[in-house]
Amino acid sequence: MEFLDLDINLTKEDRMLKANANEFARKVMRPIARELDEMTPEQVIAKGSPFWTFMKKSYELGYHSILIPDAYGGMGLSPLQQAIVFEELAWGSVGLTVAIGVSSFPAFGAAMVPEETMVEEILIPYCENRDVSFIGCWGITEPDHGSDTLMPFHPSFSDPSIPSQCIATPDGDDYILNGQKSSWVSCGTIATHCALFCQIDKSMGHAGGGIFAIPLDLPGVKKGAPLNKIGQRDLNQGEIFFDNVRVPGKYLIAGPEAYEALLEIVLSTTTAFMGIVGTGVARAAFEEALAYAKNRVQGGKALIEYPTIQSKLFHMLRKVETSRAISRAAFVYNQNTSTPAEEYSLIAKVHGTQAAFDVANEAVQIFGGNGLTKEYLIEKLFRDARAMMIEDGSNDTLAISGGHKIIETYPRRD
Amino acid sequence: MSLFKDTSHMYEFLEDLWKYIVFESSLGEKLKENDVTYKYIITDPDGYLFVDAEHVVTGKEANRDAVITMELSGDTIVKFWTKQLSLPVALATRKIKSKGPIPKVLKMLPALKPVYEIFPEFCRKHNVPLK
Repeated sequence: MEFLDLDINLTKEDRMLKANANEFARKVMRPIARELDEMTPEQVIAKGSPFWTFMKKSYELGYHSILIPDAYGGMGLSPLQQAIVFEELAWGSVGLTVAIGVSSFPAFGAAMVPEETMVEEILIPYCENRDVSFIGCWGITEPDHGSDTLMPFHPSFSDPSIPSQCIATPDGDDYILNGQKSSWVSCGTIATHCALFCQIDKSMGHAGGGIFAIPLDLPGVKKGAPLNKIGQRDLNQGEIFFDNVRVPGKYLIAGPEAYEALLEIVLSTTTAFMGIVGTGVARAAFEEALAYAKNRVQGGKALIEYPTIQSKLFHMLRKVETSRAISRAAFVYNQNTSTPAEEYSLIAKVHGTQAAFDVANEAVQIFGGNGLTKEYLIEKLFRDARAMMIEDGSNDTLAISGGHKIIETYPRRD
Repeated sequence: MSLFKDTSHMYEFLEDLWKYIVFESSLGEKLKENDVTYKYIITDPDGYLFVDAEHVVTGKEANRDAVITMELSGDTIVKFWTKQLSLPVALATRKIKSKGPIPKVLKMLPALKPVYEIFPEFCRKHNVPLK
């Protein structure tokens, strides 16, 4: 359903983008996501799966290049437009939205480096791709390193006694890659390319990392089995293993001299993105609950006539609106400056994903017994939302990271 | 010690370079097409540069509002355009501070490719060392 957008400065183009994205979410993403939710992880990515129908349609519409400038063939949306479109797609399905988002990661990184290799091997082929033969992923977390890989400038991040599990060793102009990335790599088992964040200089701890945009058909790369999980079952996730993989130096975007700061810039986008998609899930759950409460009769009257339900719905919408406000603000601000205020994106992530869970949880309560059945969408939204409080950094850990930034920087000067 | 002798030397160099870029290469059209204007706040030596599709301005007059503002040192200008410093590293290590829509900054990068090629020639013309 169309909602009242409190941003009075939206242009006709912004509204059109929103309407088109919502139509795609409603007609394509929702039915496919529910189908995929019932499948095993292997079935989700099997040939002929509706997952590939979704990906193909997304690529044809250009949604795989939302984050890429139009100079390279991307959609070239403004930061606000990106936020608007991502919220609509997440309203359709957050798992599928994350899939299309991470697919662009190698190209997103490559766009910062106007080198021939990046443009000709990554950017242009990705943006021009329509048959889903070019899929990216973001390889950052490891089996022993989840959220602690996402804490740039925290004291623990530069502790050399904390070993990484994926190391690129310089060898002439190349790097030799050994180790693995965790089973939480989104699109990990189907990706053709990877935005790989791994360690180069062990003496600097995690801070001694590097960022590569690499093809995954290099000798020595292996993929694990797709992960089976409670929520976002439409999102393929799985391990990637590296066994003496020779990576040409031309695929390096940045080395240890800039890793920590560049990671902060990347996280300022990705965590605000999570707040935006959290808003989409929260809104979806709220709308399901509102529609249900209007129709469900108990004690001779519709649920919406009970003050307790009215109060619940009020607080649910409050959380949707505040999530949208902070997520859009943080996303737009941090895409307009090269010195990001990452703590504001972290606030957006924590607030938006917590809101998604709180609203979905409350919605299940409004649905009552029906909320526990697979007959209604709300139980999927609840499971999808639960993952988000851990996905892209557990909220508890991000609060530590954000708190550290606040004590160091507040108040920031513009 | 800076690669530029002083502010006048730097202005002479930047005006010559950017007039070529804006009026003789395709960048002027790209700036107009994308509605982009740049302001550079330069230190060591101190100065300002403003560029849009129709103007290349140096000096205090160049200290005006622009879509994209970059703060950097004179030496960083040379290092960036001679590929001794990449954009993500420059931004991440705060050697270049950028204000303004990052997508527009990235969008202009392909159009700036010819600048990398001709930059050394302008350095030679104005006696600016490359390192």
